[in-house]
Amino acid sequence: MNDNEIKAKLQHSAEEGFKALFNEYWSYCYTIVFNVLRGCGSQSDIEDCTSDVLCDTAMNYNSMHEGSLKAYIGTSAKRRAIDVKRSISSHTSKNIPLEDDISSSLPSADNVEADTENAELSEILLARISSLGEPDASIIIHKFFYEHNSSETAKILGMNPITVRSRLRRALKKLKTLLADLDIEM
Amino acid sequence: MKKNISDILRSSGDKTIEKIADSYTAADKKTAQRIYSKSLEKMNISADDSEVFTAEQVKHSPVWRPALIVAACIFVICGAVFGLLKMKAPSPKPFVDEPVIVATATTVTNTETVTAENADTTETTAVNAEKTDDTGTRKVDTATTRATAKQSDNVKTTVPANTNTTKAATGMRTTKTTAKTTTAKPATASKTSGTTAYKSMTLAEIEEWESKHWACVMTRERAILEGKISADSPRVTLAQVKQFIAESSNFDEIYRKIRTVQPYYDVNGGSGVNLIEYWVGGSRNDIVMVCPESMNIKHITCSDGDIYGDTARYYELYSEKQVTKIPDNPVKSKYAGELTVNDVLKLAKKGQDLRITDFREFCYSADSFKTSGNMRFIITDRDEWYLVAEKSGNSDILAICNVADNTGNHSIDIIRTNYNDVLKSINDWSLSEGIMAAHTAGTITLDDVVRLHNEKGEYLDPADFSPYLYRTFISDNSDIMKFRVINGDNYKVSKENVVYLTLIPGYGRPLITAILHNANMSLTTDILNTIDPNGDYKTEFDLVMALDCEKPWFLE
Repeated sequence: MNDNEIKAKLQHSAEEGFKALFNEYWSYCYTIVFNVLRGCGSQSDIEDCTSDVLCDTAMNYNSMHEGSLKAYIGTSAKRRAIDVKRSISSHTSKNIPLEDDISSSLPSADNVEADTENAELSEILLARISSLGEPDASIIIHKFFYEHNSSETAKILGMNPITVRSRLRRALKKLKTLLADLDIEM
Repeated sequence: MKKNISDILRSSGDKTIEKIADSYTAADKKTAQRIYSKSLEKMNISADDSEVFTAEQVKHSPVWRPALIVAACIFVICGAVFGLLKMKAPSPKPFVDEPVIVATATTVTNTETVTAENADTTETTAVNAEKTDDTGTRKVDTATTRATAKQSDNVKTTVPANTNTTKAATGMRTTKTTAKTTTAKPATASKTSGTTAYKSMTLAEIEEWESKHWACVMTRERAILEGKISADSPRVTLAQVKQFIAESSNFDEIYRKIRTVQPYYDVNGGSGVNLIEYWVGGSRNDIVMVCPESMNIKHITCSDGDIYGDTARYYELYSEKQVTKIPDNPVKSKYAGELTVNDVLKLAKKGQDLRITDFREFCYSADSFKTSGNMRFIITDRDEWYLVAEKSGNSDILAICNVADNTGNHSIDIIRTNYNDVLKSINDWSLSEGIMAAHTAGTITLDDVVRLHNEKGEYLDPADFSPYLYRTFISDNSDIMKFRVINGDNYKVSKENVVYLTLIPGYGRPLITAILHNANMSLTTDILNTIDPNGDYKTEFDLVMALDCEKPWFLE
């Protein structure tokens, strides 16, 4: 379903529209929120924040707007997640380091080079992971990005945990060969 | 420096994250369903917002408003008329339904005194005003409030007889109103006792309680008193706390949920740390105590309200594992100070001239230096070694100054023993400690040990043992090499002792020594050095092997 269809549904019926919006973008929104809140918020915090962003989009997004719904969700997910992170940190009396707090909005001049290098490296890495094909790429992403174990990954991908483990082993072997020219360890 | 895949992916730029978000499903269907339900819940809440409701009201109000106004006016007028009629009509019965009369006052004609007896101790006071026929008044019952009774306490009121008719009428009205209030009161009271039966404390009571309980503040009661919360605002229950613990992943989350249910905890006690009490049972006999600093939650019950008393029982509900910091020196308190083996040898050189004051510089602090009793010093560059010094009588001379090795259970008096002997002992102990701590470099059969000994004699070289080294062992020719000795075809190793062969590399010749020994070095046999340097080449090993009457300790 494309953005225009979702917008049309949102205009017609809030519930139908929300359902369409949710089916299309919940995973996208969840990932962005997860990336900000990992190590700080609980699973429940991540879920709450994701639902907040999606509700907010469904209720407040101007359907007449020409812009991309995905971009809107992406930006609002990131901002909302940063707010939640701040709130959690203030609740738990754990201070976010200043550089961490502002890193999302103000790139440090000193780290521009490192950041760019890292971004490039991560893009190359992702491209090579993707080249493994499915479901190997998904298994690798779930292991290293989402930090899911074999059973969790199996549940998400609808596979057997044993199959996931064996595929992961083979995928890692392949990936090792693919990453031989990069300075990356498994 | 090599980077890890996880680190790279976690610190990726927005573009990569978006690609991941776009291409891979983030979580399972259950999670998605959960998020969807939460979202719907939130959407439903927002659907009930006043905006829609207000719009409907505005839409309908112009039509209904005049009719409603007219209806309200008619209702008020009817009510007023009915009320007036009722007031004028003679009362069929005096109001005597409510037996709440606990004190009486009597009105007497002419100049009689009306006295409210025990007014200050009663809930309500009913005044039974009785009048005789000749004065034209009638019997009425009135009820006055406690406040009125208080005011009338000890006040003499003179009521003229000829004004009583009017007074009675007024009294009648008062009676009706009061009757309603009086009948309503028990119903309210019973309802209240049915729900909470809670009575909030006064400031004096709070202060009295706090003065009795050291370093405790009754936060909830104070909040009730200040009107921040109502007296019947909900308290967190033990079941809720247990549920929060079960469904939360860390202390902060649990504590946040508890605070959501009960923002004002009952008591904040503790000194140095916050010991926050939630009176889950409504009293201090059954509480949940939260300590944010140590990140633990306990359930405490007692029978006398003293949670630190003998009747208190503690049950730990939650405790967060914290990284245990190893203290810099856990045994500092036991020891007066610390020194090194070199310091010990320097002190040993002084021999009999050693004084208690020589140890002052090794003490942790001025307080650690004691001129009476003994002082223990840690020898920092050895395991479990220490030095004990004790002054003799009133002089500075030392009565005791021993170096002890707890690992090997050795001890030596450094004042009365010759310096060279002290040095030799310390070297021996150090060597034993080094050998015991060394990792096994390889395995060798007892047959090979005997063969190499016979073939090479005093020219035994570490290189001769290279075939027996583990592949992973890397030697720089200065390390101790410890081999595990195993059974050979001819010679079998003792089953009682684990046997090792240790080679100590040396200078001038390939090895200083090569000894067979057991695990704790209590049994040793030198296979390299001769017993008598001027005699035939005979080692300790040759000797024990030659003994016919006694089996060597390392042989089966």
